[in-house]
Order: sequence, then structure tokens, then C-alpha cells
Amino acid sequence: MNSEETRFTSDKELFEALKGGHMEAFDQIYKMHRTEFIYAATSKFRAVPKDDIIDAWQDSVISFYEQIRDGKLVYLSCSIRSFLFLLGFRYIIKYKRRYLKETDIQPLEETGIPDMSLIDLDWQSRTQDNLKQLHSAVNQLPDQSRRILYMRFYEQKTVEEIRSIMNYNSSNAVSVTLSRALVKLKELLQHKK
Amino acid sequence: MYEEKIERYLANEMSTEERKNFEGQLQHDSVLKDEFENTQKALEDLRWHQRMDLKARLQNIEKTIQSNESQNTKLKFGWIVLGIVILLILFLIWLRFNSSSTQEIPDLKIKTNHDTIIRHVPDAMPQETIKVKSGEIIPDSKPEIKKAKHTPEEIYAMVYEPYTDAELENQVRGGDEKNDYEVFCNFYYNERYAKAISVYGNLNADLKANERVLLIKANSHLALNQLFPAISILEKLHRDTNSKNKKEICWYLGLCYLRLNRIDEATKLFSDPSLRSDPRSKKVLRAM
Repeated sequence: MNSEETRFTSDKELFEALKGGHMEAFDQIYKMHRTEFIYAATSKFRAVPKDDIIDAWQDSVISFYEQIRDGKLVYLSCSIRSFLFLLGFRYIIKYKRRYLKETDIQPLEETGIPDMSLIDLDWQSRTQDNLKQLHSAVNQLPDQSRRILYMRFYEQKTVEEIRSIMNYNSSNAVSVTLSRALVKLKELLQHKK
Repeated sequence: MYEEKIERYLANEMSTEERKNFEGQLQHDSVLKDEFENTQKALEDLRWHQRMDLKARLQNIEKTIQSNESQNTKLKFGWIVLGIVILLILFLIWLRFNSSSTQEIPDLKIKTNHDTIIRHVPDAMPQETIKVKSGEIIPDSKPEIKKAKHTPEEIYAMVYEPYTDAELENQVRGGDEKNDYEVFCNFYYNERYAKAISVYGNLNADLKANERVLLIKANSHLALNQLFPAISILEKLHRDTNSKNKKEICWYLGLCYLRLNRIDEATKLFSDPSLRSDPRSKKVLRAM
């Protein structure tokens, strides 16, 4: 990674930036430990192909970001690197079992990383077809509606907070938009099925 | 009609009591339950959509990284190939240079005298020899050193051997009483060249002027690396057109010139008709 790209210099800065939804921090975390993770995972799970290791690394970074953004992970008792590595190894073990012999799966060292229990590891359970359909359906919803729904139901923001962030004139306008967006989303997804 | 309730529940805005009531109602009201499950499912799908966007973002980054890595690998490979090509070119140049400056060295001739084998070595001075006990195996059919550069001095060192003939050997085998001529021959034969030159002074005028004696004296000087006295004698002998030893005179005078790097004169002598059929001169000419 180029030094020009290194915008956030400490774990604390990165954590705060992710909390604030800065996607540069998200990108930086992905690139920062990627090579090291691939090397470590390749040494640990020799049978797993590189592409799957990269896949696991991407899932780890996304899960990590989601937990912070949604306010579920508010404090990290270890380094971002350690957290992500452990998460990545868990993804490999969970989804790449077909490559791994039982002897390859060593218990992971989790001492000092209590936050791990928050992470949802089950988000690869959907099929690719299902995901494609979902993607095309949700894409029909305007960006603003998607954003409002997200802030309301995942980031747990109040209507007043959303009004302030999205520059609505009144809280009522936010509520109306929110209701319409939710109905529209349900319609789109019903139609998809 | 339950939308607001569901929204507040999912946004985590209900009080504990409200929440409890809502969850109780969910157990009994199938319409609310269906509505709630649909909303929950829709929001879960929305979350999946968000994840897919994030995944696509990371896949794009990954693509860029891998493309850069591939370029770097290609670049590294290119440098390695370039390095190999340069080394190959340098090797070929070296090979070409080396082969053009390398000449076949004439076979070394081994002279056997009684129990001693004398072998001339390329980097030794002309008079220097290596003495080896008879019975040791010395490859006589292969050059001592092949594929090396040879200066005229080295060629001289490789081919020079002091003059000898059958008569010389007979004179050495004489009885205890020896005249000056026999002493002269004896010293020469036993490689005591300085003594031989010294005894030459005791010889009578006829012997001193004798062509064969002078050839031996010149060889004594040559063996002692005294080139100019040797050349002086040999040039005089060479001027005699009726010489019986013309072949040997041409040979040793040619070697003297070779030793002094007077290549043209040496070549002329080695090409003399008297030496035309002599394998020694052919080998020297090839080596030159």
C-alpha cells in the first residue's frame, strides 16, 4: 500500500472513521493487512485455495465494518489486525471445510477478544441466484430510501437524527418517506419471489 | 395498520412494557405476525443488498491489487529475462573471444635420457625442465594445456629442446680418458651448459669453427637463456648456404627470433624448405 493511501494512522483513528461511515477507512483496513492475512492463512490452511482465503478476508472486513457502523461493536480490546485475522480464520473454517482435514482445524486463539461473539458468521448461506435476484430488486429502490431504512433499522437512528442528517424539513417528512420506502421494499421483494 | 408499531419495535424505540405487549400480541395475532415477518425479511434483504455492495467494492479493490501484482510480477520476470539475455550475450562474447584467441598447442615431446624423462612446461623459462622418474605415466599424446592463450615466449618454452644427435650420445660413451671435444660434448649432454661453453675455449681452431660444435655452443647459450650470443652464432651458420645442418640451424634461429617476438623473421625461418616436412615447425606455425 502506498503511503499516500494511508490516511488513518492508528487503530483508534480507523475505528472512529468506520463508526462515522468513512469508506476510505474501510478500504484502508482491507488493503493494510491483506497480504499478511493471505500469508498467515495460507500457512495455516494449506489446502484452501488463495481465492477462498481472499473471500474470507473480504467477509471479515465487511462484518467488522457492519458491527461498528450499526453500533454493535463500540470498543475493541485487541488490535484491528488480531480481530480481523481471527474472524477471517473462522470464516475459512466455517465455509471451507471441504478443503480441510479435521487435523487442520486447530482451536483458534481467542484470548482477549471478547467482541467476537457479536459477529454474525452466517451471511454466506444464500445462493448466488438468490443474491442476484435480491440485488436487482433492491436496486429499484431509490438510494435515499435505502439510506433512510438503513439508518432507521440498522444504525438505530431516531427520526429526528435522520431529519438532521438528510436535511429534511420536518420529522413528519422523514416518517412518511420511511413508511413509503418500507412498503416499496416489501413490494419489490414480494415481486421478486 | 401495524406498520408504526412494527417500525418502532424494529427501531428499538419501544419501552420494555410496550415491547413485552408487542411480543405477546405477535403470538396471537396472525395478521401482525405475517406483517412483522414480511417487514423483518425485507429489512434483512436490504442488509444483504448492502453487504453485496460492500463485497463488490472490495472485489474491485482486489482486482486492482491483483492487476498491480501481476504487472509487478511481469516486470520482475522481464528484468530476470533481460538479465539472463545479457548474461547469455556476455557469455557468447566471452566464448567467441576465447575461441578466437585459443590455438591448439603442439604435442609435448618427451625426451628420454637414461632414467630421466624431461618434460618442458609452458610457463617455465626455456631452460627449465621438470624431471620425473622413469616409469611415471605422462600423457604424451595430449597437449599439456589446451585452450589457453600463448605468447611467443610460451610457444618457445613449449617446443624448445636442446639439440641432440646420435653422434653426441656416442661421444659421451667414451672411456675414462677424454679429450676436450669429448669433455665439451659430455658437459653439454649432461646439461652443464656453462661448463660446455667454458670448455669450448679449449678446443682447437678447426673444432671451434666446426658447424656442429657451433650448433651445440649456440644451444648451450640458448639453454642458459643467453639469446644474443646464440643468435650471433646461428646467424653466422645460417649465412652458409652449404650447411649440412641447415634444418637445425633454421629451427633454433627461428626459435630465437620467436623468443624475441620477431615473428616475421621466425615465420620465415620455420617456413624454410629445409623445415617444410618437419612436424615441429608445422606445430609452431599453427600455434603462432
